[in-house]
Amino acid sequence: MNRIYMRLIWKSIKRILPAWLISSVVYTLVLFFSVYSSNHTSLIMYPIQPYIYGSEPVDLFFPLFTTLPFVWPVFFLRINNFLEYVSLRIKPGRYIAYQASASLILCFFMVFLVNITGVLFSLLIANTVNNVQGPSLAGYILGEMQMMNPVHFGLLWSFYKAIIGLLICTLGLILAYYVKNMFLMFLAPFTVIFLENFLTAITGLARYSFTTTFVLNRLDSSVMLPKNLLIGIYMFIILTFAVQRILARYEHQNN
Amino acid sequence: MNIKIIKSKVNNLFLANKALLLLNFCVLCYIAGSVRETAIRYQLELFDYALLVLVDHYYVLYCLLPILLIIITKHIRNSSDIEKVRYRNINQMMRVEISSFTAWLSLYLLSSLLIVLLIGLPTFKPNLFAGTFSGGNHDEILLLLDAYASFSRMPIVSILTALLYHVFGLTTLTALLSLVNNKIHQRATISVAVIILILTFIGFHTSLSNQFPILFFSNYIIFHRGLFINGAPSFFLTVITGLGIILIAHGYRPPKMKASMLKELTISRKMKLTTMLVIVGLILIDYFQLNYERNLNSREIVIRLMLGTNTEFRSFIGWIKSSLIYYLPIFFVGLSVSKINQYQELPVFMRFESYAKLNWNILLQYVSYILRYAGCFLGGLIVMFLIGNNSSFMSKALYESFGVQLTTFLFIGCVLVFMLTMMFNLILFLFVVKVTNEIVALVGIIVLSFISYLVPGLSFLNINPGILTIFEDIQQTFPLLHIKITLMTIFIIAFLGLEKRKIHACNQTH
Repeated sequence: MNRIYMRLIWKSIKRILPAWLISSVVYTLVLFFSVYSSNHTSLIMYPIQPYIYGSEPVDLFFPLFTTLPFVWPVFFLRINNFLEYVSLRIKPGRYIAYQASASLILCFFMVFLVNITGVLFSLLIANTVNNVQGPSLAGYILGEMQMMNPVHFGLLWSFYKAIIGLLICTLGLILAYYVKNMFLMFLAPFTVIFLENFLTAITGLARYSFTTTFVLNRLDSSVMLPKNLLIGIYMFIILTFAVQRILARYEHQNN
Repeated sequence: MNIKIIKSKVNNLFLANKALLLLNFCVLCYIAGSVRETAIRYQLELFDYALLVLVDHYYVLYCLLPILLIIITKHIRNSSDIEKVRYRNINQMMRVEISSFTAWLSLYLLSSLLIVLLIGLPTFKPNLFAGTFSGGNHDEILLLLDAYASFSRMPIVSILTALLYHVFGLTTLTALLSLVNNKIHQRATISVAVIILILTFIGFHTSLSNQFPILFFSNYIIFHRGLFINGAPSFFLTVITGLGIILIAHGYRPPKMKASMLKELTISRKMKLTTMLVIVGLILIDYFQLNYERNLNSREIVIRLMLGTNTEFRSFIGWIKSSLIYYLPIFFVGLSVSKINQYQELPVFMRFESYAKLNWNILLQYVSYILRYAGCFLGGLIVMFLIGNNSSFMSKALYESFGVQLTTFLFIGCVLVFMLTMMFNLILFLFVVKVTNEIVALVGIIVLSFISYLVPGLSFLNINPGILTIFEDIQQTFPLLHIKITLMTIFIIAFLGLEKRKIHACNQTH
């Protein structure tokens, strides 16, 4: 029995693999370009800094990278009524769960691999300047590790960022399951995070923003505290649950 | 029939609240007596004295408001079930409740005025024009009288305006409580009344009532707090909010225009409403921020909203704000394109002579939506710009940075460029949609805009320009702005021309 389920997941993975590959290549190229140009335009004191400066602009589109390539199978399974045929062989909920698991697994690997590659690229090309007084990374979370042991930090950071990517992908999958408009379904997570970023920035609450949780050293070190990041993550999880409940109720009412 | 009911309700209000009104009368006499001493010291005349008594905010907040709150709550909770079933509907009942209270309150306040005038008449001489109250820079009473005198030289006009504002504020309160009583629950009325009272006291004793004027009731009933202390923009916002509550309680709903099926399928009413709410939200955010910074000037709101970003002044918030303003309607157009693709076999689409004609009609809907959006939004900005003045911080900063004064003429020029760019963005979006799809088109436009924000040398690619970009373009010796405007106009005309031409081509016999 388990083998059948594994095969289903594998089939789902194979379905998304081309999109995964394309998005991974695009994400990597954009990140490399940004890291490379940051290395030339900024004062670099530690080898990880090109990655820190370079990943920031790319992270504006992070919600798109973590949803666009992974959520479409769930949307089309629903919109093309494929689940009705599947229900004869397997429970539709379970089938969707396998599809979603495949999307989440690939999303995790994409974010992890691209970011660790970005960190390694940064270490490789960094033009560090010595004998210059500049800002230290010591005040940030794992600041010493960022300065002294960037490879280990890169591994930890990529893992953490991949987890955040999973959260965004989950929201995207929920929307893909319930929303029938393709445009809205694809762009809703990006729009939500974009608006949240704007609202928290303009109200001076950027420290609690969800965007702050996945942009490395985004704000001043005095406000980049674990509890602030956790608030952002909790709020996003609550939002995801709320969206699921609202959409499920809406669908129930319409049926 | 309503007038009869209102008359009997007005009588009932006097009779049922005798004790409370007597208490209020005693307090009013006490205030009139204590103010008399002060008025003699300042050598005031009769109407200035009456004004001083009636606009005393301690009397209004600590005596008049609590007493009237009890009367209002009793008034709207007293309707029996037998009475309720006699009305045509609940809206009519609320209309009668509010109108009777307003009529009663007007009579009551006029009688209060007469009482104060009678108390003051033996001591003070009647006067038509206000006295001079200068030289009292630190005297609260003289400052207050001076503010009213600068509002109107005739104190009787000031008195009537202040009393009218009392009536407006308390009618708003009645309307709000009546809505809660009839639409939510009877028990909630008292809770809401208590919350309003507590909020009023909190707002009065802190600066919160200046920062969030619509939330605190003192701004709805005390004229000099609403207008002189908070400023004209806050005052208008408060009055509009109050009128909105009264209209809703009177059963007013926006008229439902009969939209064609195609309109509803392209840009629905809900989309238009959401667009408007987001833009109002953006304006309110800036308004509250400036109010908090005590730098309220409607011109400042306009400049902050449309500032954008340029090579010298790179602001992420500026970029996001201008992106939201420019791409919000494009987002809804994208939604509509996706919806039309999804339901392209609907009978409504088959009514058109040809596919090209259908496309042309849909395109016209989008163009009309963008023009209306740009027209309403930018028209509102022009009005706000004209209300404000040049002393705003941002006006000065712009002048110091560019050496160009943002005059009304120049601002209208900027507005026309914004309008043209919005139209260009729509056409660019629809053009890319034809080649790829709506998701790629919107993401592509946002990426392009973000790149032009990030890379200073690519500012000519900026498709969501703010005031800063336009000023930068103006300063350049190379006529970049003219070239941009010309290219955008050509692109728009060419696209629309080609789409129109397709109808003709489809109708030709082959």
